[in-house]
Amino acid sequence: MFSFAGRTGGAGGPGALNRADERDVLVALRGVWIERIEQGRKTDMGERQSDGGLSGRGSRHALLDAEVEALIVASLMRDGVDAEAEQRAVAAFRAARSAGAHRTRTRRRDDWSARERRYLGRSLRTTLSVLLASLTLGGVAVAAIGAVDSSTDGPGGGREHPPAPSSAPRDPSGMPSEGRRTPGPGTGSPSARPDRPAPAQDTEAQCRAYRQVEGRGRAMDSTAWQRLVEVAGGESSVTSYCAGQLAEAKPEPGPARNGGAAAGGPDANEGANEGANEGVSGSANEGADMGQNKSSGKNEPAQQQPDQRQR
Amino acid sequence: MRAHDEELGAAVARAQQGDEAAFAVAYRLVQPGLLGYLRGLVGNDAEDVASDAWLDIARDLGRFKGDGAGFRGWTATIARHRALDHLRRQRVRPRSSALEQDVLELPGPQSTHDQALEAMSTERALELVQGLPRDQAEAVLLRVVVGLDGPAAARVLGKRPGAVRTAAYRGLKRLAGQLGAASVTDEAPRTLGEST
Repeated sequence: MFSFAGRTGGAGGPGALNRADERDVLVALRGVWIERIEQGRKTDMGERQSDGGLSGRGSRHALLDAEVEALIVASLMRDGVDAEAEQRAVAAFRAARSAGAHRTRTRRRDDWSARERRYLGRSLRTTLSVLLASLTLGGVAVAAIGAVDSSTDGPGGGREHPPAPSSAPRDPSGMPSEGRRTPGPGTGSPSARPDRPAPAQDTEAQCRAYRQVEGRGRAMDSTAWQRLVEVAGGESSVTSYCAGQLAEAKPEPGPARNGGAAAGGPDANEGANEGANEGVSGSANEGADMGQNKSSGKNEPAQQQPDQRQR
Repeated sequence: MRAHDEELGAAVARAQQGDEAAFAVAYRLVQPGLLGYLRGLVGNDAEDVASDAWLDIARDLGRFKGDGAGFRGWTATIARHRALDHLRRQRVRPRSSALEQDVLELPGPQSTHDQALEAMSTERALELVQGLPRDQAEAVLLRVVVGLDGPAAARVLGKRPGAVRTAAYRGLKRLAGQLGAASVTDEAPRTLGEST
């Protein structure tokens, strides 16, 4: 009757509950519940006329958790143990003891000490915070790579994003792509690099992040930060560099393809762009300027081009 | 039951030193809860599964590390693995059928007196526990019958403590709704009367 497979016992026989004490428990419990039901019916009727829906716990869910728990315990637990089963367990204990099994090593799953339990809890929290931190820094790093690469594309600077080779034909679809592009709000060329924020935003984000982690921990050792420092011209200049970046970024309200945001560009990385221009010959000159600035629409096809080829 | 945890911890420690009588003490302290949990999982086969579990427990006792409460969790984990093995071997669906479950939920506020009586029986209660979704049933059983705290129950089930807490809460609420469908505690109206 207790099997999930089917109720073989049912109401007919007590089945597994053939021990006298078990039956006693059931009988006693049943008596208690019958009594309670009788009381419940009486109070329920009186209550229905008087309470006007105020009955919070109500008549339907009148059982407290404690009562349910008591019922479960009474249903499933029997006091006392089967002596025979106990003897079997003790015999197994004896056998294991003489076999030396009790001097075995504790595996992790066998360690239920309080310290271990606490440790588990802490390690979960630690894992989560490390994960969160790595996501945050990872995002910053990705942004930083974008920003810094594009601004240090000069010799030695742009390993990952070589400037557009001069032999490359200009993208024939450059103009159409102009039309494809959604004149979205915000910054320069969102569709050109769909997986990456616009360069100026990169720098802004980087600067904001820099302010947060400034002087703290190993974040400052990362390549991205070192590049930022490089771009700014020394660690001491980062703050002022960023201040300039952020100040310029703010008055960038709406669909500023070549509006106010353009100011952020040249100003921000003049030096870098000079280097970039050296490394880029001929026709790519427009594209090489693809640093922070989103100055004009003309840049964008060229900007798009190397990216597409690399991916 | 948790009041015995200290005694249990001491017994386990002595048993780990080879004290046979202490092992028997631990057995008597743990077995009722373990068996209750297993009844909820495998019904009539609980005693057999428990016997198997105790063979493992006796064999691996030396590996265990922890106090009385920890020992309950450790043994429950072993018993659970045995129960799941058993269910797998049997290839028996661990839950009552959906149809049966619907029927179990039926007795509502309008149930007749007889139905209510039936709902109140302990057999009925057991059926209701077994009729819960598996995670709820296990969470309730581990908390209530085995006497584990939330984190320990979560570790037995391999789940997050929050998930187990929620499952136990839902399971208890569901049982309370089903069991209390036609009954009212006598305290309730009185409390209401005082407060209004």
